[in-house]
Amino acid sequence: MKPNKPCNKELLTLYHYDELAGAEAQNLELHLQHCSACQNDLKEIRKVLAAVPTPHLQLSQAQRRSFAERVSSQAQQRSKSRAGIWAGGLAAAAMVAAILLLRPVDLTVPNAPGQPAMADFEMLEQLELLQDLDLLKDLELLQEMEQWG
Amino acid sequence: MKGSLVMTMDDSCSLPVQSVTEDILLDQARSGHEQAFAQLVAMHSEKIIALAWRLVGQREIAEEIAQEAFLRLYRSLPGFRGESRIGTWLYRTVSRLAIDHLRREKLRRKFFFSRSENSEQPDPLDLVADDRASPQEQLLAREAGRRMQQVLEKLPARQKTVFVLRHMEGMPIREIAATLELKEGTVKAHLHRAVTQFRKEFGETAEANYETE
Ligand SMILES: [Zn+2]
Repeated sequence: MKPNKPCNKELLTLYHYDELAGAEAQNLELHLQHCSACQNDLKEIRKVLAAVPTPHLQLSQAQRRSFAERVSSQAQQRSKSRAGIWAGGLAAAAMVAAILLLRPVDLTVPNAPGQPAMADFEMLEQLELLQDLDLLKDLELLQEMEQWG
Repeated sequence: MKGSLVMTMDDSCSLPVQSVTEDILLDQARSGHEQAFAQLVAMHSEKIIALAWRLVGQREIAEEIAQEAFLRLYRSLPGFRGESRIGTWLYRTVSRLAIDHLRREKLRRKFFFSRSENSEQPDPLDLVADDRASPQEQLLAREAGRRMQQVLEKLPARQKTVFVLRHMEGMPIREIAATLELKEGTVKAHLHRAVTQFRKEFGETAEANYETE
């Protein structure tokens, strides 16, 4: 960034985090010498970010051990019940295959007249996420059932 | 103890020693030594739970996410390639799980609206009331931390993750891009937007507004 180039605020952020390569950093430093607006911005970025605290978490050895034991026993349980999941998965796959064979699949999303495509896309993304959520719930349920059975 | 390696569950060893230890443990875990896997988890647990906690703000959910990441590691053990260190792999997995969680939470609020922002969920920084809160955690419950958390919570999931990884974890932008499978330019833009948000809330303009209110 030459002195006569327009100010670039993103470069200031990157400069603060030491993320500018040699020439980029030099150009910005040159710009800073002549631009009081960027000097002030950089000062404020430094001040604000210095005040953002980093939360620290400390676990005692006992806490780490108990967490590790919990995870480890979960891992054993899951691997023992994997055979069950496989059986369930195969049944589900067979069902999906049957549905696909019975019904032609139209993967294009019809666009209602007058509605912007972006809104549809966003909605679709959100619905997918919600389906993920349901899927996760199903998985949780499956695991719970396996723990009972 | 099934495994032949004798060591304490302490991750305080220096880096080269840790990576050698990790390789041995990884080998043992791969061949089915439960205790070796537990030791790997113990070695990484503090950093991984801390990362999840910084990302999602709630200790219990952070532990759940960390646990899921370790369980996925366990499943991936047979094919785990040595060139990707366990720490890097866990960071990537936790970041992605956290982003998914944050997005789902946002959607849940948007669609179902039954949970108000603060009522049902415990305040992320109500750690003073948490028995497990260390002095450092309690320090966080102070006003500055609370305000910071509020700004963090408002950020979109990816922006927040980029900020936490760069500002709190000190991860270089190039690594963040690899971890989140984003272009470096995208990571830079996310970071800058997050910083701009903090400036809006805490910068001089914000303070001037605050004083004139
Ligand atoms: Zn300038």
